[in-house]
Amino acid sequence: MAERGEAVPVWLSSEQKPIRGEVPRMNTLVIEAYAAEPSRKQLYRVDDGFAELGSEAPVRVLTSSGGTVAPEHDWLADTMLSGPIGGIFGGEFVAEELGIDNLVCSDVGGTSFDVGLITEGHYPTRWDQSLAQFMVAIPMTAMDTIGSGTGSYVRVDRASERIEVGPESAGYEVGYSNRDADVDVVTVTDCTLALGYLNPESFLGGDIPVDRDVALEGIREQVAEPLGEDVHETARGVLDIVERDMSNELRGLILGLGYSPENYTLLSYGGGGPLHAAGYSRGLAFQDVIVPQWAAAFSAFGCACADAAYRYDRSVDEILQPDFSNASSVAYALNDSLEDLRERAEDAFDRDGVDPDTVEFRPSLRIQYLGMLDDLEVEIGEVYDDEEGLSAEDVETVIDRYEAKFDRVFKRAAKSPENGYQLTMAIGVGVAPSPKPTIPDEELQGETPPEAAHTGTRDIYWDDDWHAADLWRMRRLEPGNRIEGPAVVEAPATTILVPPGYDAPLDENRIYHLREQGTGGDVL
Amino acid sequence: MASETDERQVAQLIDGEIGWSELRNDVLPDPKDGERFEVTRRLLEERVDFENPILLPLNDHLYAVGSDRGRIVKCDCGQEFCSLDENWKHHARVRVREAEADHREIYPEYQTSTPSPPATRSGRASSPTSTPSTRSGSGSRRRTHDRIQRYNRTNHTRIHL
Amino acid sequence: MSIENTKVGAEKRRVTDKRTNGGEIGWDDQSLQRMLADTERLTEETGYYRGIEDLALKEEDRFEYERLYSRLRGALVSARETALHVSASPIVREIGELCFQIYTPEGDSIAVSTGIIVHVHTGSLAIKWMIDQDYEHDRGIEPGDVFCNNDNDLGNVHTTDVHTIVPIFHDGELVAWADGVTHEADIGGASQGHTSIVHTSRFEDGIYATCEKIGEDDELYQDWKVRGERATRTPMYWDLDEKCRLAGCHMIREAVHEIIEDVGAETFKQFTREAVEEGRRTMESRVQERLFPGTYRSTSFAALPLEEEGWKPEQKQDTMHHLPVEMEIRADGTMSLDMEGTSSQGDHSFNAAEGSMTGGLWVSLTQCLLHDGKVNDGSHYALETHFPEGSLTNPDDPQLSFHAPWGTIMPAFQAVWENVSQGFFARGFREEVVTGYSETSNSVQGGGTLMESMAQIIPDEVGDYFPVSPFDLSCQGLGASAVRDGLDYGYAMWNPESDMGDIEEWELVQWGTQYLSRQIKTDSAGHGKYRGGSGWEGVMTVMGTDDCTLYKASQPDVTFSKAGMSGGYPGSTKYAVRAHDTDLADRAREGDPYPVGDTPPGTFEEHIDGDVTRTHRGNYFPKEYDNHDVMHFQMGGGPGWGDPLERPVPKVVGDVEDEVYSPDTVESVYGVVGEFDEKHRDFDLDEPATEAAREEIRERRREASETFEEFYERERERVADGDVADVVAGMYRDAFDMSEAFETEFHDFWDLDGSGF
Repeated sequence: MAERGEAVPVWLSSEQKPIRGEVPRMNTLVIEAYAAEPSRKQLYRVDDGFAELGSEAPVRVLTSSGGTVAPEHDWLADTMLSGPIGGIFGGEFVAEELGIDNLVCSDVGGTSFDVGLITEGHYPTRWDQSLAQFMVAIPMTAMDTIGSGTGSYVRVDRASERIEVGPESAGYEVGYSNRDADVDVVTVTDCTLALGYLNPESFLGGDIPVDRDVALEGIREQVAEPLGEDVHETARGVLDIVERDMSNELRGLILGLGYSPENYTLLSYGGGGPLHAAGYSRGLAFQDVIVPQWAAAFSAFGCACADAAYRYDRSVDEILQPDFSNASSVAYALNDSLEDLRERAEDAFDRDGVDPDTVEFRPSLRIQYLGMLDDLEVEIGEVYDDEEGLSAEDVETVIDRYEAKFDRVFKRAAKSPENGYQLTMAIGVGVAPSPKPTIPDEELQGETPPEAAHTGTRDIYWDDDWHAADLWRMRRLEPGNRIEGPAVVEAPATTILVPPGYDAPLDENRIYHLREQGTGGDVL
Repeated sequence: MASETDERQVAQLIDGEIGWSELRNDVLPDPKDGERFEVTRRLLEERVDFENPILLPLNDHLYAVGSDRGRIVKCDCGQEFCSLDENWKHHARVRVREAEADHREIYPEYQTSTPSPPATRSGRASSPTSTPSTRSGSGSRRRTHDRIQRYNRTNHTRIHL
Repeated sequence: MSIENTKVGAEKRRVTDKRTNGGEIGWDDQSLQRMLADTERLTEETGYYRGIEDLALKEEDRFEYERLYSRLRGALVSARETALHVSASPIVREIGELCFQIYTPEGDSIAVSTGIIVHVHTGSLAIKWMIDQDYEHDRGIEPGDVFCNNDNDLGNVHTTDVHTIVPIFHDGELVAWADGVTHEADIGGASQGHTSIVHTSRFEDGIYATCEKIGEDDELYQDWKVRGERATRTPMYWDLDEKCRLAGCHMIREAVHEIIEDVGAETFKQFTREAVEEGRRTMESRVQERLFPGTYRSTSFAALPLEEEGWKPEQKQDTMHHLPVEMEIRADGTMSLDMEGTSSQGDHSFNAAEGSMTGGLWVSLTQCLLHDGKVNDGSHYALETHFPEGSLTNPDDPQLSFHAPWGTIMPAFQAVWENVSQGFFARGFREEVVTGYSETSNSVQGGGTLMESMAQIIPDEVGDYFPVSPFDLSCQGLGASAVRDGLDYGYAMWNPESDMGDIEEWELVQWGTQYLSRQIKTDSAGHGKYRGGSGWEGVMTVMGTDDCTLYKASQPDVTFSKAGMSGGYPGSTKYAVRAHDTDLADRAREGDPYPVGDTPPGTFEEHIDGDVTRTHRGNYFPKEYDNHDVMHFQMGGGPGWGDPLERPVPKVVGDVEDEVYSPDTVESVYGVVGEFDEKHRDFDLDEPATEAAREEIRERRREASETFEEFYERERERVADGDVADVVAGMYRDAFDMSEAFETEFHDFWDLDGSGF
């Protein structure tokens, strides 16, 4: 090109992302080539905008594997899923601050229910991800999504007389009850409205006018009548199905990784999380169900919690003999790659003008039993020596870690050490700590909430009956207050449902603990 | 209850103008439109020049229609083929492509039926095919198999509601 | 020891005590045989599954019922999702060729996971066979037991799908069975791979587990493991796939125990029964809702050209198989499928057990009528089938090879799909029409061993043998519907995973082979107003091996299986090209071009020197490949719908620009004329020439066609004289031999007393 006097940008996956898997590698390269420059320009404009307002803070973007990067980063493809992933990082932050080892992060949005797991302080990174149905090579925090959200359509299948929820949804148009929109089909939100859980006057602070009678009429006509059921029972039944799907998802994810809900605390956020948390946690004996006061903006909060980090990967595909006889040569080869990755991370921070002394190098390896096709990521920072790299003994230690992890993830029936090991990928992450937000830590007031916080009562439908629920304005509640169900805690962007038989004490960190009474636990 | 939207959609299906997104997300998935048969029938009637009531469509151009001589197969060009009890192909012109040269009008070499017998490129002479083997099995093998087959029997009895 | 395992131990003691005191493992102290007999009797007498006329549980608490269903199915899907990560085989892991099912104690499926759902009913047959053979009293069925089956006659589709079956007990009773199936990479048959064509009898099919108990106390027997190690060419894959299945079944068992803990055994039991009856009703109401009642007929053909390639004398013949399908769709929502007139069974791999054929029916129906994941054996009760005994679709000789029934199933079901499509079209659901599909039978297979220098690094445990079993066959052209073009290289009717897989993942397993290319196969899509989906082609070479053999089935190759619909044409046929003793190494060194395809056919040779062999038929029998030998393979296109002359010209222009069709083809088929600038992918349409060409095509149609009477007279003489290819004559003789009804109908049609075949 230079010879021809042409200036043509060239992207080479062998240089930028040398990992095995031609389909995701190519797709990701195309995404990068296509979207990186326009995105970068947009980020610079954001930077300029803030600068004009007098800010000196740098603009950073959250990557889907953890850590924020500068717009100059040469691989912006890693920022594709910043939003939903933010919630998981927020969860990690909260877990660390509060000393919670195992946390399930659950986000109920308009179209989807996203779940991620933090186990012993770590979240698994998954490789085979897809984005808009394209396979991509973007390391992503393992997150599961089902197409069941607050805006999901509710329909009856004539042939089987079954209720179908989603995956299509009204999205931001909320539902049939939205007088400003043209939605034909009733949604999950319409059902929550019909049951009295939502305040029709203050949906999104009153910005979206929703009519409860319209919701009821829609549900009656479209769902209840075709099934020959009562309208409120139907609305509750729909929520039962949706919440059961969500709880199945949770159960599947947790059990699929070899754990049990009893091992975890459930964190609920997103616009719809606090509303459905009691429903989808029912029957799963979580240690605790927590709903932060800032649940509606939790993903954004999560972005702010992330450190600056640059991650580089390289396929190595080293084969380690089952008797470790070639551990030395494997260590040698790995060190080569890891050193190279470390340099790339250092260069990136150098470019950003970050003090190299503040940068920590955190290497990992992806490993599998030879013959299997799914590797697991194992952090090796504790054994990796910054000067010497890994020794042959270190390799054995790493394998022990791998096997322990394998045990947790898959059933005991599946181990195959006799075949040897394949160390598929070397990963190098450079991390420079960023200022973090602080979680509130306030003095506890009494259990009884202030008068001013109580705004009235409203009937809610739960367990086949109507109950008079106390209404509370979230902003006016204080740490130490204990909300006794039936109750609804309301805020412009979110609603917490505290059903009959539940209570929700607000702790010093301004986090609610949703508890089914009689299940014990002294929170405060 | 065929709404305007339903009709538009069905019309687009008939005319082949439906967009992929709508097809994939609205038309193909459940639930299916309960009025589809009737709406289709009516729209088709609007499109054809003949007056006969359409009973059902057979393909792009042929319909089972009512007439004063009973139910017949009729083409949208007006041609009346035969009674619905008969095979309309008996009243159609037939064009057969048999020679390889004819096939080659449609498909490249190697991508169509092979002139018998199938040959390697070196063009081996044909050899007569032997009699294909038919049923085999001694009586005892058959009996063993019957025992196995008893539980493989699919339901031959009509289920009545 | 996991919690589950000690639980299993306690359960087993409970059952043993019960049995010692003369108790039975069925419900309410009945034997399984009794339960099965009752189920059959009640179902037959009443027309409802087990006589369940009222779905009491569903009616009483519909939402609870739904929750149970979704929980059960969630467990199956979850088991599959997790288990597949244990497998070594990219066929399982990359493509998803596995499935988990749950059955009632009598063996009726309640729910299935995603994946190879052909197995809805196969596990059922195996379980029923075990009950019929009195396993419960003889071999014994106890908590912790592990059973295995892949015998097609007893309950399976093809040899390489292996079932691990685990009984689930509660409180001393058998409450359900879990069944996990995976598609193996190598099954120890006469030729390497999973779908061999070389077989002449069962004794070449590979390892068969015939409803055997292979373990107890949740552990596999030592001797079974030894057998597995020695029975296939890929013991590591066999072992890991088995672990995968067992792990999944145990997960399902755990899930069932949890459900029972939550809702109680009685509710669970009632639910499972109602779910099956509901399945029956759903099937019937779907049929009533979406198809037009009537009688539908179509016929497919399948060629087996083995005369040149066959290894054994009895194989060395060319045959053609007759596969007629008549279906009745009734107003009450029941359906029947009748293949009277089908060719006889034979000494080849393509014999399909009846259970295999109905398996094919499930794959089909779950994609057009029962696609919301709620399919179970209830649907089976809404169907009748007639597969003639002694035919390819219901062989009566268990010593025949039942190894690769797909060679019969796939072409046969082209006719099934055409019938069902006609029913959809008449009912107004023209978007559900599927004109047909490219048959997913052209799989490259084989295996080899690496050169010493390459094999050094590989642990001895793993060995230096590599299998060649890519599953990119699960990505073919799907036929057009009546509203749109088919799906290009993105669908495979028989493998709804629809994924060609990552080349580098295949290469990770197939050490000695390298892909040189993948590209669209021009002119493979069936023509029509809506064209069929296009196929694709690839080129592979061999490197670093000590030895390597490869083969590839190709169907359809020497004949079409069937036509398109409403005036559309079938997708093109497939063929085989390979080059041995090549100059590929020189070309690589010099940077010279090498073959990346064969479009148009004949161009492959332009970029390689060597011993090139080109055949119209596939390469069914393994051939030796040396390093740098090259193989070409392709996946086909689907059939089209409607008259090509009605295809909008702009679409045809787009077809040329996308290399779906060549300019020559669009001129002669669609009458579209213009100049194609290949470099810029720009087709410059010549409108007047196009108009003229299309008029010419219409004129030629008028001239080249004849009246039906003329056609009939001419053909009748040929039938009388037997003036057809020997293979065709043989096919008809055999069909007449098999079916008096067909023989009579055939001769009545031609108004002859006998034919000259």
